[in-house]
Amino acid sequence: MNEPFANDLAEARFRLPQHVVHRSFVSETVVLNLKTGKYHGLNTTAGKMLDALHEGLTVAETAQRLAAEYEQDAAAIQADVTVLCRGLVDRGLMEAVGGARS
Amino acid sequence: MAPAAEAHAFGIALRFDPGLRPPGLQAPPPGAGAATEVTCDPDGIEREWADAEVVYVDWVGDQEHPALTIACCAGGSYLVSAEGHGRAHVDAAGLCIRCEPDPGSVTFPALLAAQVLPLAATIRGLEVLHASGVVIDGDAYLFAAEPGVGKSSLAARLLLRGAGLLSDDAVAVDAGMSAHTGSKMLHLRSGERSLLTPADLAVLGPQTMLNGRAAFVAGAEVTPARVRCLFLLERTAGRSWITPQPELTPFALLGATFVPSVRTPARLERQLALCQRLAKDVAMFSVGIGPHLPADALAERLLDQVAGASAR
Repeated sequence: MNEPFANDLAEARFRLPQHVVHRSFVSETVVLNLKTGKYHGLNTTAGKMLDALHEGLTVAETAQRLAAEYEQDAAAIQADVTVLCRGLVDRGLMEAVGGARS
Repeated sequence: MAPAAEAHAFGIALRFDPGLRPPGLQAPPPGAGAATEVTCDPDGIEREWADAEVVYVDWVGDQEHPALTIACCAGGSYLVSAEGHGRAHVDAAGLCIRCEPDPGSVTFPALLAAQVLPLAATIRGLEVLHASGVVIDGDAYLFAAEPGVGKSSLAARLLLRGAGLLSDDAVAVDAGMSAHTGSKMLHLRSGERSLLTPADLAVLGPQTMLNGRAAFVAGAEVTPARVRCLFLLERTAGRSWITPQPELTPFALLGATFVPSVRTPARLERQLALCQRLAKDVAMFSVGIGPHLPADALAERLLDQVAGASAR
């Protein structure tokens, strides 16, 4: 279920902290918290979102990229990216860059 | 005093005090690198472990009376203990194993081969999979499965068809995706052993009995070989199958580890990277073994699959 579109995160950038690594497989992406030893699985779409964010794209830019790839509405995808970011931040797997609010 | 024995197993060079070297280990190749020293040193274990801060303990069997415990201390060393066999301390670098066999134990070398050496190899940077492995035409083929599914029986049948044995239970894979020999002891349950002909027994090599199972020191020496295929075996009540699994879940690969007790960040990251490489570079197959498919017939089917994979 998508959250309402969050304007304040559109220009935000996120990154994986040093203690978090990820590897992509055919059907999912595995995110590993090296501090806790816990593994998390992301589906292929979420994995692509993570890759884009990890490259340094903003939330909006990430959504634009996936919207082009999937030929879907960018606003809807941006809401999904926002949900993903909040979920990963809540789990200690991602952090905002440059003081952006999450 | 007899000289210390040198060997090479799970991708690491080893040097044993007399009486500690397990059977079935290959001699080290030239330039094998720094050897892990395996010594009989009960006082050393007391010295290293008496004040150790234990961080976690893994166990096998009943938690109240475990068959095996592996304790990790804050300094990064490990203590492996098995009642009736003995205990061994592995230092944080995996280069020093201090041993204390239980009085009268004749099975301590088997504990070394089965648990302690794979642990040391993992600390030293290799990934040990819970799998049997054979070498066919210079390539390594691995068979991962839960205990009792039939890895060893399958390995025996492949040896009888000319394959070389890497291990029947634990195979070390290095960062270059080469699989290394472990212990070349092949353990067969009585049912499978009874199906072997005298000619088969001659091929498999010298036999002893260990823990109620026939144990063979199996086959000629093999060199490390690049992993070509990984077969994930399971028992099924219905028909048998061999199915390519290009989309194998990574958690199945992570679950195939033989050494879950080393949980340093460096190891976890390395393990995940290796699983990604296995998934990307190695042909994977799911294998269902039905109740009416003997190991002999399974070996034939897998060799057909291997031949097909080689042709591609």
